[in-house]
Amino acid sequence: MKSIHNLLRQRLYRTQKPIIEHPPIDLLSAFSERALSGSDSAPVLEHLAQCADCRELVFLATPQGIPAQEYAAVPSNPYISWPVLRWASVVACSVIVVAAMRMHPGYRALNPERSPAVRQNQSTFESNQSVATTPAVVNSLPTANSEKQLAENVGAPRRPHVSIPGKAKEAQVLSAESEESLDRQMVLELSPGYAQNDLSDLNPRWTLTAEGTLQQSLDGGITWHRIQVSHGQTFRAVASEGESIWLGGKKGVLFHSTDAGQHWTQMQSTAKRNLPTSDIIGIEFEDYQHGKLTTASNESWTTSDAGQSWEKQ
Amino acid sequence: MTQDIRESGHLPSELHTLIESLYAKSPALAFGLTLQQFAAILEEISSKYVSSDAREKPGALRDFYNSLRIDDLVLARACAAGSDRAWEAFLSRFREKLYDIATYISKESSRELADSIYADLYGTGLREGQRISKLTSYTGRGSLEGWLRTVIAQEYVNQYRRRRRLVSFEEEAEAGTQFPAAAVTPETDRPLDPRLEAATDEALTALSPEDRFVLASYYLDDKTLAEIARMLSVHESTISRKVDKLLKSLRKQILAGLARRGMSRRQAEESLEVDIRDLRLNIRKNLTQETRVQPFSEGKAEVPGGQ
Repeated sequence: MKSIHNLLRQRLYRTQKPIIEHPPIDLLSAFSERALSGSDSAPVLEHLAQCADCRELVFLATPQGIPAQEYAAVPSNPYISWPVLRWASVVACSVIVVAAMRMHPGYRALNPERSPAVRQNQSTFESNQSVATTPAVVNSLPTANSEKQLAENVGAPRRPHVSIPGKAKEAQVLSAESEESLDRQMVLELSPGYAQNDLSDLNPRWTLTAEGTLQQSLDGGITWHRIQVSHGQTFRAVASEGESIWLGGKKGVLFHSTDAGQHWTQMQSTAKRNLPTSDIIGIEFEDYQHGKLTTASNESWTTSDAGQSWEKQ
Repeated sequence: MTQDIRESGHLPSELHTLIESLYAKSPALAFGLTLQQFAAILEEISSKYVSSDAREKPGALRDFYNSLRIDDLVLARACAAGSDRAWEAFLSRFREKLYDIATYISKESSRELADSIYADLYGTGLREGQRISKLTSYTGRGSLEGWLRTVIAQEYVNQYRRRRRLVSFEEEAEAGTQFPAAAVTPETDRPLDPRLEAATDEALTALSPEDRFVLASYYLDDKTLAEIARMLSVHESTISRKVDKLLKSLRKQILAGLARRGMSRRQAEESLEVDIRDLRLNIRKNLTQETRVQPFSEGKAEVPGGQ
C-alpha cells in the first residue's frame, strides 16, 4: 500500500496547472466559510484541486479551530473507544452462541458426553454470559447504537423459553463473522459523511432521542445514529426541508444546517434578528422559505425568508 | 444606474418587493445608500454570479439575494462610497480584528500587513477622479470578515513574494503574474511505464474535485489531516477515513486500469511496486526543487522563523 503514495504524488503533481485564471477572492472566502451552494462550490473545488496557490490562500484564510458558531457533525459519541466495542461485541456474540446452543433441542441429546474442550468453552461462555447480562456492564456502554444492538443481542438469552426456528443459525452466523462484522457496522455508523455518500439515494430521516440528541437514519429508519451538533445542548424540536435542517432547544437555541447535517450554524439574536428566548418545542417548515417555531411559553415565531429573520406572532 | 428600479423593466414585482424589504432591513439608509444604489449593487452582483439561463428560473434571483450577507455588503459598499458613518461602523468592528487576523496569518505581530490592507480598503488608486476601494469587490457571498481574512492572506503572499523577488534574481521571471507558476514539471523524472501513468491519471481524473483537493493538499502541500479537515470544516477523523478509503479505491482502480491495458494481475501489482520504489528518490528530489523555485510554500517555513 505504501508504494502508491509516491505514484499518486507524482501524478497529482502533473495535474497542477501553472497559469490559470483564479476565482475571485470573494468566492474563495465564501468557499472557506462553506457559504457556497453545491453548484457554486464545485468549480471552486475543481480549481483548488489544480492550484496550489489558491489552496494556500484558503489554508491561510481559514481560522484556527472550528469557529465557535459552527459545528461540524462529529462522530456520534466521543466516549466510544475501540477496546470497549471489541469486548462488547465479543461478549455479545458469545452470549448469543450460548443461547443458541442451549435453545437447540438436540444439543444435550447429541452431546451426552461432551469433550473437555467443549466443556471448557461452555464454561467460558457461561461466565461471559453472566457478565454480559449484569445490568451494570450493559449500562456502562454509553452509546445508543451499541446499546441498542446489545439489547437486541442480549435479549436472546433473556428469553430462554422462546424457541425461534432459525435463531440458532443466525446466532452461529453472527458468531462466525465475530467482531469484524460489528466493527464494520460501527464504522459505517460512526461516519455520517460516508454513510451519506454511500446511500445518497435514500433521504435521511431525523429524530431526537429522549435526552434531546439529534439522530439520523439513512436507511429509512432501520438504524439510527447520533449526530453531535453541539456539546451540552438539549434539543426539543427538529424539522427538515430537503437539505435544510432546523434544530431547536432550550432557551431559544436554534441551529441550522444547509447541507443535510454536515455542518451546523447556531442562529444568534442580532440587532436585525430577534429569536425566542424560551425553549423551542416545535419547528415546522412548509417549504424552504416559510417556517414556524413554537416555544414552551406558547409563542409562535414565523419566518418567510428561510430563517434569516423571525417574527413573533 | 436607473432612477427607479421598477423602470428597469426586468424586475418582476416580487423581486422588487424583496429588494425593498432587504433594503429596509439593512443599515443602508443610515449609511446613506439609496434604494436605487442598493438595487444597482445587487444587480451588479447577480449579473456576475447568476447566469442568464439561471435567471430565467423562477425564484433563482430571489434565492440568490436571500443568500447574500446583505448587512456586510451594505457596510462594505457604503465604506467604498465614502460614507463616514459606515467607516466608523467598519472600524469599530474590524480595527482590532484586522490586526489579529494579520498576526494569525503572518505568524508574527504584523501591523504593517494590516495597515497596507487599510490603505487598499480605503482606496488608493484614482479612476475618473474617484477613489477605488478594494471593498467594492466584496459581494456579500460569505462574511465580510472571511473576505478580509482572504484579502489579508493574499496580501501576505504577495508581500512575501515581493520580498523574495528582491532577494532572488531568478524569480523575477514570475513577476508578471499575481500568482506565479506553482507547479513546474519535474525535469529529472524517470519515465514511468506509460500504462501505469495512464491508469493512474484515469483513476485520479475520475475522482470528485473534493477528493482531488484533499489528495493534492495531502501529497503536494504536505498538509496534515487536521489542517485539511479545518479547510473543509469537517472532523479530522472524517478526512482520515476519506484518505484511507481513497487510497484503497485508487489502488483498485489503477490495477483495474492496468488489467484493461493488457497486464496480468501479477504484472500489474509488480509494476506498481517496482516503479514506485524507484520513484521515491526522484520525487523527493523534485519536491526539493519545487520548493526552491516556488516561494509560496517556502513562505510558511521561513517567514515565521527568520524574517
